[in-house]
Amino acid sequence: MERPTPTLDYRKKNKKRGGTSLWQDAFRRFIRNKYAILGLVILTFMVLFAFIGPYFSPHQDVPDVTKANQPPSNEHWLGTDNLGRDVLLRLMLAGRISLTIGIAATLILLLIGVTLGSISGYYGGWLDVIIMRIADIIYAMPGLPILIVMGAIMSDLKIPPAHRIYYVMFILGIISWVGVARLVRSQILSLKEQEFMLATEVLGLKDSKKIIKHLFPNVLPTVIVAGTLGVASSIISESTLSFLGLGVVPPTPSWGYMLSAANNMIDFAKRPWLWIPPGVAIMLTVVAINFIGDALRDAFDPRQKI
Amino acid sequence: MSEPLIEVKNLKKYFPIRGGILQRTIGYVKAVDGVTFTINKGETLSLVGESGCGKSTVGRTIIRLYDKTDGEVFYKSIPIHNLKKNELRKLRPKMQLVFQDPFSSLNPRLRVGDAIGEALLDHGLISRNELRDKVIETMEICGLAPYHVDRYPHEFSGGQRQRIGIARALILDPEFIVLDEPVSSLDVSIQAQIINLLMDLQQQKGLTYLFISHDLSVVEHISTRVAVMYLGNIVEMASRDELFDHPLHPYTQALLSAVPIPDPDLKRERIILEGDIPSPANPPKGCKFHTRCPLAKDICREQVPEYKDVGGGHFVACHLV
Repeated sequence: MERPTPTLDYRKKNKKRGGTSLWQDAFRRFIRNKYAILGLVILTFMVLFAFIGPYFSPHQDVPDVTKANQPPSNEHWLGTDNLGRDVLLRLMLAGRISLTIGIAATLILLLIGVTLGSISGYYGGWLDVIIMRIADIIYAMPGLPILIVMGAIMSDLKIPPAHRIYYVMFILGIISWVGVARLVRSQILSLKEQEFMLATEVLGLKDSKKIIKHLFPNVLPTVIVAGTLGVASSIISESTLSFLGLGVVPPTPSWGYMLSAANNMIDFAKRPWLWIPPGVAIMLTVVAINFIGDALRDAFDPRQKI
Repeated sequence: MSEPLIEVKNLKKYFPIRGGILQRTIGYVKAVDGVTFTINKGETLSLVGESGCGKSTVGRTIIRLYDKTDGEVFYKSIPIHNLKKNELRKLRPKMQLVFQDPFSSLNPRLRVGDAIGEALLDHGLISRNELRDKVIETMEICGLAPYHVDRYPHEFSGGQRQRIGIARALILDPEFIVLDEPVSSLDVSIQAQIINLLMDLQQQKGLTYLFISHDLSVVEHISTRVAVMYLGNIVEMASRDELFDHPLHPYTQALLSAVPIPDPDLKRERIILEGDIPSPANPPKGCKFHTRCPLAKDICREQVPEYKDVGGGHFVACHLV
């Protein structure tokens, strides 16, 4: 019986299908996703806005009460706040803090959550029991009192305001790794029962290969989704912390702080330039990161077409 | 032809039952409770029995996917359960397993070509340059087209996936393959294709199979010898023709009488067994089958029947034979 000659020579790597790795395919799917590109563009813009933008501002971030509470004008595009500082400049400076905290806190929570969750799920036994009971304890403690206590400790230790931002990242990371650890653990537990993991044992694959090629790619989507949600919630939690006076301290601005500084009736009703810009900035950043996260998750799913 | 490739001696596999707050062991499921048999080079030994009788556990314990509780398994006189981890890894390619479920046995995020070839590369049995040719060659042997190599598992049907599973085992050039109900999740026409593929491969490469199944018509087609399991023990073992023509154990007789025959006019006596298979955590005393055996006598309730040779390699464990 003769097989019809294939139109492509499959003995060579099929160029049309890309390389052989999931990563190359994922990259291809990612850059073809409109939302992903939109998200990347917005996020890049926000980063440039926050980190490069201030150098182009003609203003200084110093109070000038003679110009307090001015509406947007040619000189102050987004108006001034109650101390006469340029809102646009403060928005840019605040972006540095909020973006750094959002991303760094997420990396910390992912690092702790994924590591502990994987150990718990993969090895099980008493390690699993200990890690999960610690997670239960942290989960059971209400977040706000912990934050207040930690903030009080920081004040008591006279930690300089410039360093507080690093502690804020750690606090946010440490109280929120629990959810990720549980997600990763349950994912690994269910993967371990799949026959393809048993098959890797029958084939006699090395442990490193089992983890890198079989376990990790199947846990990745969960981690990506948890990570994107983490960035958004960290940016917002930071504003809670700042509102309680536990996060970054004035005069250092953050988006969350700018929002909460405008929480009185007069500012809310009469001076929308104080709270609309930071609100929009948070929203754009969170939406952009969610787009990127969704696109990444789809990109690593081989069921999606290229 | 009759040199033994696999020797199983009094193999036992108990799974602990944990309970209470401290998760202490409060009992054991005696999934495999002392089985002894040999598999000769080039033959197909079939293992049949009801669900939950320990067939799959035997298959998995033989290749040490599970650690034994007691007994020993020899592969070419090598005691498999005494090997160190790295020694076992070296031996892995020689003993392969084809899984029952073609859907969960393939990683959804790994291309088929990689899934088939990765173990060969990992064991250093081939260079990266030659790998792709070898993968495609093996896929063609198993009835897959070369252009399937870059696809993902979800793009295949159940039968094709089972061929991938077979190719994944076959590429390592094994001597012994455990086929754990390889066709029970496929529809009948595909079953025939896969069975014929397996039989062709056996002829070409001199493979030895342990074929685990509950489908007696498939077993009759593929086997050299057949072993019947009940509740963790082998109750009867004989060559295929001997077992199907002269079953001695009442359980075997009941199983055979339940095989459907495609002839509506044929009237025959079916032996209907009463009750369910007892729990393997708390098996009956004496002969484990006495609770359901239509011929049970007093001795069956008290003494465990001896597993004896009644001539011509026909083994049976029953007081009445």
